[in-house]
Amino acid sequence: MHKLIRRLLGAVPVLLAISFLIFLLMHIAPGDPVTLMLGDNATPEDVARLRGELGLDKPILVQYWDFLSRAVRGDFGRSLKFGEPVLKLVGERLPATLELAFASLFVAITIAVPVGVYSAIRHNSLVDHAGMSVALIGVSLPNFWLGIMLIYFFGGQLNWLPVAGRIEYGIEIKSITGLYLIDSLLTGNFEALVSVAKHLLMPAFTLGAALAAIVTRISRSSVLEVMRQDYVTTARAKGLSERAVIWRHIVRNALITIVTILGLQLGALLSGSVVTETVFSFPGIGDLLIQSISARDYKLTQILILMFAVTYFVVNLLVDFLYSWIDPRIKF
Amino acid sequence: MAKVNLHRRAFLKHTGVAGFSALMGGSIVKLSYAASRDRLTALSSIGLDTLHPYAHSSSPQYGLWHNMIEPLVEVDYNKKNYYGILAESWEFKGKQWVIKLRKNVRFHDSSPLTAKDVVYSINRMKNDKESLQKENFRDFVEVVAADDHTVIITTEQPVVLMLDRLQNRFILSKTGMEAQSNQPELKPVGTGPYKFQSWQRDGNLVMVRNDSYWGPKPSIREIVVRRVKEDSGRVAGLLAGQGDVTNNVPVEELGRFDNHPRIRAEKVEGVRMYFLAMNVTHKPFDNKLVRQAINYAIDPTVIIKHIYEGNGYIMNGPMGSNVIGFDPKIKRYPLDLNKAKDLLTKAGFPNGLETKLYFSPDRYPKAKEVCQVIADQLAKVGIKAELVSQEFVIFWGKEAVNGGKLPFYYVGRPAADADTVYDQYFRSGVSPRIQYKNPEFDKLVDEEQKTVDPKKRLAILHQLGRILMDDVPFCPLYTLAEIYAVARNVNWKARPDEKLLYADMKIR
Repeated sequence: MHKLIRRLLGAVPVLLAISFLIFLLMHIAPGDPVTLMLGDNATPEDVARLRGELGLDKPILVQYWDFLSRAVRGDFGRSLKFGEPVLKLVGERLPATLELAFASLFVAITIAVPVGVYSAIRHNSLVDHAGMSVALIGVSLPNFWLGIMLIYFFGGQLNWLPVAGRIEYGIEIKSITGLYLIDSLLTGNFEALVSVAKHLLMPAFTLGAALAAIVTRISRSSVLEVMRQDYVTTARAKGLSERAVIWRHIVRNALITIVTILGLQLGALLSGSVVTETVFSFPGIGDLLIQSISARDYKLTQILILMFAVTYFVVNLLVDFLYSWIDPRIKF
Repeated sequence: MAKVNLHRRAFLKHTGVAGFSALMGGSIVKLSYAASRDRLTALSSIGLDTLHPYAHSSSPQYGLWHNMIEPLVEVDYNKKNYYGILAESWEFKGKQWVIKLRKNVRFHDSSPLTAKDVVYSINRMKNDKESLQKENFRDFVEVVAADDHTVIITTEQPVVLMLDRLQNRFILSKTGMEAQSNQPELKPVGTGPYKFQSWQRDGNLVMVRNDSYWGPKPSIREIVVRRVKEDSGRVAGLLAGQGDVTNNVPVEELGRFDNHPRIRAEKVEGVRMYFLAMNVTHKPFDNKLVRQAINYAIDPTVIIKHIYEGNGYIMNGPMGSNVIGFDPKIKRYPLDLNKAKDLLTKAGFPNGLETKLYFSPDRYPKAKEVCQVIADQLAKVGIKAELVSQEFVIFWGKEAVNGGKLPFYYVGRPAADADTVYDQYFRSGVSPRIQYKNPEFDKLVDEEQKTVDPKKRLAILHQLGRILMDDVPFCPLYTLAEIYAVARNVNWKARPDEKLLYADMKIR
């Protein structure tokens, strides 16, 4: 518990430093949100007036201090583009991104771990070569291209899946967690469940494909390495069934590496969501981040990037917990 | 009862296949709807940013709002004139505009439209903290309700362009909004042919028919506007039957609708005018001969033919043919490379010159390809133009176009009335975008803005166009087609101004 509190406290200066860095970078980057907001007819006087109203004419350090002093009171300001409190916007969008990230992770794990383990066990077999070739293709495909191709075939040509959005219009869903799959299961709403799954399938596969490819290769090499250990030979020598050797001795030991990679890649999933959400018009924070950066919506961009940083931190913390669960010899 | 051997693997395989089939089967049945009198689904490249109808100032958003909340007047692009929507008639009296409202118009909350609603709405647009439409009212002294159906707007100076300013200013119900503590984001109450039903940011906007609409009753009961940002996603969704109409169709996708049984393309000349702007405070664009040489060197027909696949309309003068103030008698500079070279020599550049051409690829379609062709055409007369690409938020900012920092750039500007462009781009001291100074031009703009008689005003606008074509602080290029794709069972003609007005759509 002490260590957990120490880790949490340690995160505070890191997040402060990140927030300052983002603030500084956003403000020194060229581009003016006000001329964009006012459109074609604005005069220089209109622009100057609005800059004053929004406090954008103050020195950067004063603006940062204003931001910090409001933030500690829970007020992160209003979005320039949407005119709403940024926390409200993030709250609307975060569950969608989390759902997409977890679905992609699920896709990646369910494909990658069995294929990786099987390829290692049947080392140099046809299945191994085929699995590794597919993994290589998976890593090499840019996810925006994969997304567009999926839209073209499964949306446009076959009409199996919807090309955009999160749930079909007309289907009501009672929000409990904000994660639609979970909510539809909790409320027993099968129609919503099918609709949400249909909307999630292509984005989750797009986002999960590269991760699946990486995890397949890591699982394979990790299992191969463990298979060469003396304790595996001992386990076989003492007469354990092959299944017990694989699952209890090989896979469990190989999991440490796989979990580390998954933890690190979950962060990459969140950044990958920026592109995937844009391609599929999936209403998550990745899509919102693109819109906020294009509009130089300082406050919204600030909070969104901070959200990404916090998520990285939390995932790393969880991975550390998982280590000691997988291997009790590791102390957190 | 016979014993069934159920193996685990077989069970998993069969349930997996059954589940997937259910998912897919459901999709095919559910998604194959078509436009009907009950519902039309639009796959739109943009959605509402906010439910506050005044907290933005962008043309596509005006288009969405116009279905629910109406303005006093609108532009008739064919007749190049204004017609009344909520206004029945108007009179320009120097510093006053007297506007008579249409009678028997009711808001969605059943309250009648009165002059008080107009006063309330204009004051909201002018004073609301969130409003981004304030600049339209900067010279307003007061707006008063003379009686239930008469509004008098008093301005500091005569404003002949009042109708242009009022065309996208939407009127809310005073009582309707006061009942919601003046928060339009709860439920905007207008008079439009469609009523607001629901909205999720970057999700669906749903509108239902206003059965008590004062004008012709809309044919379709419910409109669902789904935001699909990705071009290929919109086209794929439409072809698959997941939507009935879409906007901003890329020209390279047009061929897919040629023989499509369900979808057709719909095109109209747009109001955004593309041109090369030359800021005359920067060398060598301070030299009229250089500017004229550039006009002789550029041939937009090549760009229209090869980049936009014929979906463009050449501009022969400073204005597109849809715009009030368009002069059909003005002709653009012909392509004449020898003349261009001669002018450059006379201007002191016998060996040509070097410059930078700025553009924004994220704002204007195919801007990069266009500027590459322009650079190639300029190179033929000895002008070496280095291309500089900028993100729009930078391009449009105070360190670039709106700070007068860019000498030479590719830009598109929509307009309903020539005055808005002449005033903003070419009149001295208004904006730093071109910094053209010509006392004769300024004087004529002043005169035009005080001229009540439309014919006399048009003559002055034509005169202004001729002055500009002689001085050419710009090089006119083209307007582009607004391209939509729409279900064949929908009778509809697109408007030039990017507005999708669903009440205009009729189901066959």
